[in-house]
Amino acid sequence: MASIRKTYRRTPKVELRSLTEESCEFVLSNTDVSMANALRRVFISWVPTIAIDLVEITTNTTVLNDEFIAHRLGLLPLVSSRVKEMKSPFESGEDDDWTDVEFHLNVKCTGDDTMDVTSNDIQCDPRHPDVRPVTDPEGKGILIVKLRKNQELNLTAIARKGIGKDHAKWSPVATTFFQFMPEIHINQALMETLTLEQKQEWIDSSPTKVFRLNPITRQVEVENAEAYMYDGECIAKAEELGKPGLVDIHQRQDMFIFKVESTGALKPDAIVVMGLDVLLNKTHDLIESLETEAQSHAAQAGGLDS
Amino acid sequence: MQRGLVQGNQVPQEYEDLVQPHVQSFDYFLSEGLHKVVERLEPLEIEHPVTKTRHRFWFESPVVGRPLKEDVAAGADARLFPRDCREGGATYKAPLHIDLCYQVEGGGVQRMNRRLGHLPIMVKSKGCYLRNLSRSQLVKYKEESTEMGGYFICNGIERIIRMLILQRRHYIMALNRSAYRKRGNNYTESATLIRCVQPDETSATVRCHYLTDGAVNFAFTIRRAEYFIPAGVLLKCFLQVSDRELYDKLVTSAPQDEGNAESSFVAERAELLLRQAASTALRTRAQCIEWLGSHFRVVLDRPPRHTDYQVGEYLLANYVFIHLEQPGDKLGLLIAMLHKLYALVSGLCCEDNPDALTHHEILLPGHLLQKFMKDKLEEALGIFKEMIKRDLDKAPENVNLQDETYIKRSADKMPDLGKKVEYMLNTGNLVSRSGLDLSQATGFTVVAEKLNFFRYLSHFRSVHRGAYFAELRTTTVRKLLPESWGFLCPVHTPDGSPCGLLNHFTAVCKIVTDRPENPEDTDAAIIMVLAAAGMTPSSPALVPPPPPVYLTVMLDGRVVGWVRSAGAPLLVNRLRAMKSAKLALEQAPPPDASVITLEGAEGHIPSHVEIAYIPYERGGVYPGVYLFTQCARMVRPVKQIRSRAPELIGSLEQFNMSIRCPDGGAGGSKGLKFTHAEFNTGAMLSVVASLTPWSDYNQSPRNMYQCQMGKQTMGTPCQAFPHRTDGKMYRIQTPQTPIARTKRYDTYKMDEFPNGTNAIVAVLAYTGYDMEDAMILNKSSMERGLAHATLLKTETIDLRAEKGKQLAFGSEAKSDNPHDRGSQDRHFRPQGAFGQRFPQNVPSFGRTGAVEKLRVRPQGAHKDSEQLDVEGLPHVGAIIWPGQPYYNAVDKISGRSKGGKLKGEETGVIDQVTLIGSKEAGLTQANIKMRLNRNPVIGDKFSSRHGQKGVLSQLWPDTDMPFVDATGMRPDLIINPHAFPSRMTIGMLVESMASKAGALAGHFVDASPFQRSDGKRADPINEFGAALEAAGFARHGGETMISGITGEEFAADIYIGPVYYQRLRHMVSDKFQVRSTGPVNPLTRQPIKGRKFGGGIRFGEMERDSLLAHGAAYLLHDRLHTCSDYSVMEACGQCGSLLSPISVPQAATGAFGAHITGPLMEGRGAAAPRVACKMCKSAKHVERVALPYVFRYLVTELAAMNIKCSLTLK
Repeated sequence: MASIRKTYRRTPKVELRSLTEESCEFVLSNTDVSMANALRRVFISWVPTIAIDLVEITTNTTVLNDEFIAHRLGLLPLVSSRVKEMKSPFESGEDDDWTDVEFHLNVKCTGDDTMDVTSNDIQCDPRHPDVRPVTDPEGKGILIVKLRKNQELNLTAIARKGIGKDHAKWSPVATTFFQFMPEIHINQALMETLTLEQKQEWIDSSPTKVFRLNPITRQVEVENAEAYMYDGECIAKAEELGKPGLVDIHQRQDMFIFKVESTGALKPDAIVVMGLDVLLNKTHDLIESLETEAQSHAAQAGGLDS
Repeated sequence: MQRGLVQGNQVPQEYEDLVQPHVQSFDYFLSEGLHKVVERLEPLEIEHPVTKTRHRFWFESPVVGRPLKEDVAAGADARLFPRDCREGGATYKAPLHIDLCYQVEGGGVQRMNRRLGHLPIMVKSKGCYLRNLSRSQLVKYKEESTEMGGYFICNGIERIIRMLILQRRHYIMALNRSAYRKRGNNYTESATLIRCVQPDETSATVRCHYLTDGAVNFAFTIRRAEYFIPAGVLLKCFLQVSDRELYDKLVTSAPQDEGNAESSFVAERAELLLRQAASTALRTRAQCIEWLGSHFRVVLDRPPRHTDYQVGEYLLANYVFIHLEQPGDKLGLLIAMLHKLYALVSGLCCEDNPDALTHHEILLPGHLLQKFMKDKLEEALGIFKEMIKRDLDKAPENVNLQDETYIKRSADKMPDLGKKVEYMLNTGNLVSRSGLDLSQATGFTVVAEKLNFFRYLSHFRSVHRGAYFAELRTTTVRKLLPESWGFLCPVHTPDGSPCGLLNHFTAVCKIVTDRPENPEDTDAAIIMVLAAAGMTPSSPALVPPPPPVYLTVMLDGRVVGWVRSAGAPLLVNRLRAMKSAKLALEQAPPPDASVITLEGAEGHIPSHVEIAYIPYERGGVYPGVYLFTQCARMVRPVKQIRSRAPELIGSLEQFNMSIRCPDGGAGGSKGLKFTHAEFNTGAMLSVVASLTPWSDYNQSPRNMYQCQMGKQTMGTPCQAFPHRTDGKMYRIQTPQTPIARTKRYDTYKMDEFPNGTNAIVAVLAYTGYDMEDAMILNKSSMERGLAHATLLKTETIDLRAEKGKQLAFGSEAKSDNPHDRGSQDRHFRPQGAFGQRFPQNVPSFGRTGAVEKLRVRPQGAHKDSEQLDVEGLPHVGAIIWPGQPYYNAVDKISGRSKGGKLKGEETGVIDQVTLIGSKEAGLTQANIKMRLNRNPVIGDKFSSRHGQKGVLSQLWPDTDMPFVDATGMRPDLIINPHAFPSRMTIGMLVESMASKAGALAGHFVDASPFQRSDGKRADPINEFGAALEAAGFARHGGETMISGITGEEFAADIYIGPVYYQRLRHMVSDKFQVRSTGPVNPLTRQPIKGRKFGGGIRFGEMERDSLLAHGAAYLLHDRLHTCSDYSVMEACGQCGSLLSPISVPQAATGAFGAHITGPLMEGRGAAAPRVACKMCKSAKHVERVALPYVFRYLVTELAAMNIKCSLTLK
């Protein structure tokens, strides 16, 4: 058993390429597809955030109906940096567990112009002022509903902790995905049999800028392997030119370019770290249950023997 | 600015054009039609038996008022608006007043104004308040801002009179029908017929039948009965002419100069025809008319004082060629009919196709009402006559026919005409004695459903062939004929039983609804122009020249002259130039058009005059120049090539014109000289069909399917939601405008009523849940709002409907019973039939502190205060669970209350409560609108705009969906590639690619069909391929994708892009039917049927057979016995009876006539027996057996018939 583990043990590496408020990009290497995909799935549906879950509507004379407004409120990303301190209603056991954040929205249009109700109009829970709707740089807020004169909306909303598996509103990422790192080898010997025009023609056949012609050496070089979209255009072109095998393109099965775009609820790095935590916990849970299972099996087997 | 939205403050002309045949024809009915009917109504004549004075009664000056409210306080606005009717379940109608005039012979005219009830008024017609209102005004009157009218409101329901196809009026048709042989001895299959229409739209069809001996009989109809007279007699009835003249007129139909077979053919028959009359010793005109009069006196019910001659004249005027007044014209027409008949019989001309649109016209709503009103006014006069007759018979001396009060009393018995019209509109049934010369009596009206805008507008554009044809076995009437081109849409017809019978007009097709204002001027102008262009005007004395050299010119079924064949095209062109010039005066022509100027009387020529020029062709259609100026014709604009101006052409006219289609090339015959051209390729499509993107790339049936599915889509049915009371209305929550849209989408402002969502569709086989037209939806997309929808249900509660009670809305006092959980336990959640708790969308864990504390609950002292307020009406926004009350009413007399409980298994939310009535009259009517959630669930139906429907089979979360390697994009929807090869909906693939390019560039894409024919050198694949490439995407729309489950890349590139998807109204929530146990039929104890009642689906013979074939005995037993009427009963093993075992206590009492004592107590086993056999007087052999209960029922029934049924127990 131990020997098998040893064979498959790897030391995955993460090389961070960029990190902004909204997104991050890193290269995950020395691991395989299952690991990359597991991470992706965890980021999307297991990293917890806070989102509005229950809405009590007192007055609603807007054009949108109650359920529709409640649904829109649910989709507002809330700053969830403190989500770890919270308990979801399913986890909570103690009375003093923090499960709810309360928001109020009380607006009425009195002017003749159409009034926009945005996430800026939401009154935050005084006890948890840091749980608030995500703001955009311009501070315009997210539109919830538009009001005409004398229309009114008065509601209380309760936000809870949850995960994307339950509902997409709890997913912390707008999108997260990985790409296989392409590996491109140009057969320079064969390439040299092409004329300069043919080389340029071949380079242009790729819809994205992958190759370039070195003006000095007049050789075709790989400019940006990652831009390659696996469209096969350049391979097709090579065959059209009568030079199959001009280029050899592979996907590396152990290296992934990972991109995480946040909804704003969590910082992208937090999503990654929390995701890793979740994955780790899940693995621990798995090992634990495997062990219990093994023990009970052993006990049963022993019971049968005796 | 969005192109698909209505701009400005006026209702778009495009919308008003859609309902043009309806509104304009009703306007005509109100302004002229009704007057014409009253004018032409025959006065009633009564002779007083005592005073011997003759009295005349007739109607005059009908006036249709404005819709007014019935009970309205003084000073208040009494106007009744359409929305009042819709919300109050009333009828939008206005009073109809008419003058009843009466006159004693030689005396003065007296008149009496009477109200003949209330006439339903078409919305936006001249009688409606909404006419010519601007959009903001319409909104003020609580209407749709784009209200287009064209329908009636009957008891709150919008109904329209369906347009029907009729035979074209005033055109002689030659037919060969085997049915004509059955008319009598010697009748052949050949006949010519003409449908004649009076100015009051009364129509009568007459025929000339050819007999085997060469004679001709003339057929006409009086009160649904057919009568035949020899044509020879009729020929002499019109003018005092000699036989020689008639003979000359008749024989000219064949070329004389050649002396060929046809010439002698006609000559022989003409002679025969004239002998027909002579043989009956009828020689003069007067004799002939008297002969007619004497034969038809009884049928026509004429007074005895009229002479035979008068009766004969009456017959000729009212039943023969009723559209013509001059006898000379009638003679001319009869001769023309005989000419055509001879031509048909001798093979000189072919028969006409009665199924071709060339010989059709439209029955318009206004005209139907006109006919109907005539019938009913006649009936009213008839009833009035009966009343007076009765009084005259009883006590003639007491009757004073000039006494106003007497007349008034008799006139009060006249029926309420408004009610009759209302009944006709409500049921679509036409109650009439004469049948109105129509082929059907039912199905004249349909409900204008507002399911979505497509369906709504299609109602106004649809035209039915007639109920008679629906039952016909043959499919010839359903065929799509080339004659329909440009008038009826070839794509937009439903599948199945109404296929080809229910058609839709093309978007540009219009119907002529009015007769010319001054028919005499118009006719005179046309004849003048014709004469100037080389026509020889007809006169009774003139012998018509033979046809190959000369062609007959007919104007609205009247022979007006003859023209030399060679000169006919010139004459026709001259007239065409004038009619397009007239059109240019009515609507601005294109700037490059050059039209002639009209001088003098030429201005009277209507722009829609139809000029059908049929040149002579041996064995072809009977030649002639036929002109039509009257109404009910379909017209459409085409471009005159010479003047580049538009011209309105009709269907008979089009048949012989050379019109160039944009991609038509040489038009199939070399050297064909086109005189006209289509304006664009959209000319052949209806509104709905022209909204399918790239329909020219699809296999044609798919476009038909889309026309059907477009009309079943859940979309945006209207904008004035608060004022609609439709029983069921679907609405999608997050509609979008399509990226790929046709030009007509913008023309018809479809963004006002969007119908779907641009979904990112990937075409791949993934997980197997997309097999066989199933589709996978991204659960996360759905959770973010994709295809979310609601069902709006309106319940109308009318407390007055309950007889013997005085109900008023009110609440009931709270029960003091502490066990009444409904009012006490705040967390009581009702239970459904399967044990599920409501509401299901709230987690059962909802009792956190904040929820408890903040729960806003309406509290009150009355019962059900959580749902209802003190007035017994529900709170707006209240969630009503199944079984909970949504209103409460209290009977003022008994004090008992009556509530409405929500039925079904679904939770509803109160959307709106509308109270109807006034404070004074009592608010006893309420519309309660409820919202039911219809978000996508597995089993719901979706479709693209290319006839590609599918059922949602699985909702995969984002994590499980495949994602695009380059962008991380996950599709909203996955469909299987197998959906394409056999269906060939290439348009959908093009749409995906084009929308993708459009989305990337941020603009809409023109998806009109036949773009290349319209001059755009477009090749969508290369055009959008290049755009995609420029945006850094693969040229042909494919992208590398990675499986969301394994993380591995797919071997093939996946075709992915946005496609506009529609959500169809067929939903699982409305249809699922499931039961384990439930209600049973009390007689048989078998499960009842019907989804509404919680019944089951029949497990029938065929299902039983298949289980038997599989040997699935246990399942079979379970279905047919255990889950059905399984019952345990006692049977006596000795006598074998099922019925004789009765319970011991019953036996002891002597009930059932049996008294069992003593010995029966010797049972088997320790316990005393419960049941004993009353026949054997013993409990010894009684056994318990499990049998279907229905068997026991059978045994009982048999016993009732003295048949014993005994079982052998083993």
